[in-house]
Amino acid sequence: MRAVILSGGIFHDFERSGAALAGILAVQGFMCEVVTHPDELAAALGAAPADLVVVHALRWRMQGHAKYDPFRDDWAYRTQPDLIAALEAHVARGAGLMALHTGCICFDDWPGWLDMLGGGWVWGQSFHAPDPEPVTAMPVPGHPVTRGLMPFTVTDEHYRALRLDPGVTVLAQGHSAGADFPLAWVHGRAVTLTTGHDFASVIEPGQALFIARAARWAAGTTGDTTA
Amino acid sequence: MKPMSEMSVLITGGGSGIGAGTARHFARHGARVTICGRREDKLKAVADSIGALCHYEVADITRDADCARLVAAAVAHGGGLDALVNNAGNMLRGPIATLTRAQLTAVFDSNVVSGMILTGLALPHLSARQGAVVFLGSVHTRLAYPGASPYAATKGAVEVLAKVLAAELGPQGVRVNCVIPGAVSTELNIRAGLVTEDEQRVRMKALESSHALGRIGTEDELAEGIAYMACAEWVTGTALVVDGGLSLGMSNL
Repeated sequence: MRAVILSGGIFHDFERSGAALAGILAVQGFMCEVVTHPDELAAALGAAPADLVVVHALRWRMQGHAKYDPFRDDWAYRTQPDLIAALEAHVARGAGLMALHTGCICFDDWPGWLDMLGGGWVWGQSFHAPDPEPVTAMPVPGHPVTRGLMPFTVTDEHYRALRLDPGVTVLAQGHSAGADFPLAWVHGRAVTLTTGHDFASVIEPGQALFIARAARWAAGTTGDTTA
Repeated sequence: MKPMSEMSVLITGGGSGIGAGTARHFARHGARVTICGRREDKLKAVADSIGALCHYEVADITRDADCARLVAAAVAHGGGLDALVNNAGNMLRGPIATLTRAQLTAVFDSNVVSGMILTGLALPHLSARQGAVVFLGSVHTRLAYPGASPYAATKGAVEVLAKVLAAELGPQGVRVNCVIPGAVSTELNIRAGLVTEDEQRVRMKALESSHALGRIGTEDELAEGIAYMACAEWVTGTALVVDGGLSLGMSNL
């Protein structure tokens, strides 16, 4: 199975967390290619079909706040037609998609991205606490991804007040500081997991297992080879 | 002793020599092992010989991203991490006047710095399992071999590292130790271009009489020492010499 991981962006140690993601997927039998620019993702999908695309990056227009000013020249991204076409073709042939953490913030000038995911970050509505805080993920039974999974707690930057489209299946409910909210969901073959802020979070064993399960399911493989 | 059958172990340099022997030893006792190295053919051969308990990653541990991928793979493969065996290393020998800064920096990067980076990345998982780090030292820290200053210096560094990190990480439940191997026939010197395979055989034969036990060691014998250090739950900050008596420095004065 071939997986292409888009990583990179500001305010996160994507080099390590993206590499960690590749390690988790490799154990599940994926041959992983990590790219650090959306144009490279489009090129990778153009070169050969992939079973899974993972967006674990923070690439958007970077409008709306002065704190982005120093980074805009290097990191602001306007979604290119080649990327849209590549992702639409990828989804159209039934291949898997996963958005991890900032993945559901990306491509804010392309409404079709959140349509693919079945929800995500909405500027002016969505938020997260200033610092990572403990969040307990409660897997929702009834889906192959969550079968037999136990709750896990991870210190993470979890997102709140996200858009969630009708018809999506919530895979995990988050619980933190007395609040409950959707933490992960699936829409078609697209899985969104809103946690995964850093290396430590991605490889927390419960979260790593969730990612592994979700990746295999999204790519159309059932079963679980993870301990 | 922590039962090996319940352990997840990450071993660097697992494609050959002591690393491969250690992987086989842990797996024989039921542990899930993750090995890494730069040569896929070697890693695959070891993994195939072990079976499903072994996962391998092609990785260069002098690259941070590879270290992150490696720790993540070990956690995913083993459901956590009980032991990190910092075995990978490179040999560098030469008269001091010929050594360059680039050569010395590179050998310290592979033999010392990489193990430190991996230990830091693995720490939360080792702490969660009350796990252990095992560094591989060398008999070069017990016996002075002219021309071996770079390698010996790196191995001296990891021996001290084990002591300091044992003090630093003990409160988090993580033990750190060092195993000091004697002469074992590995690819280390061959890979470094210092000897051919034939020369290595001759060299190892000549070394036999320097050992109190009259022979060089095997990968399995080193693996037993490494496994002890990984599993012994009240042993930390120390070095275990597994060298058949080589470091006794026997002579015929």
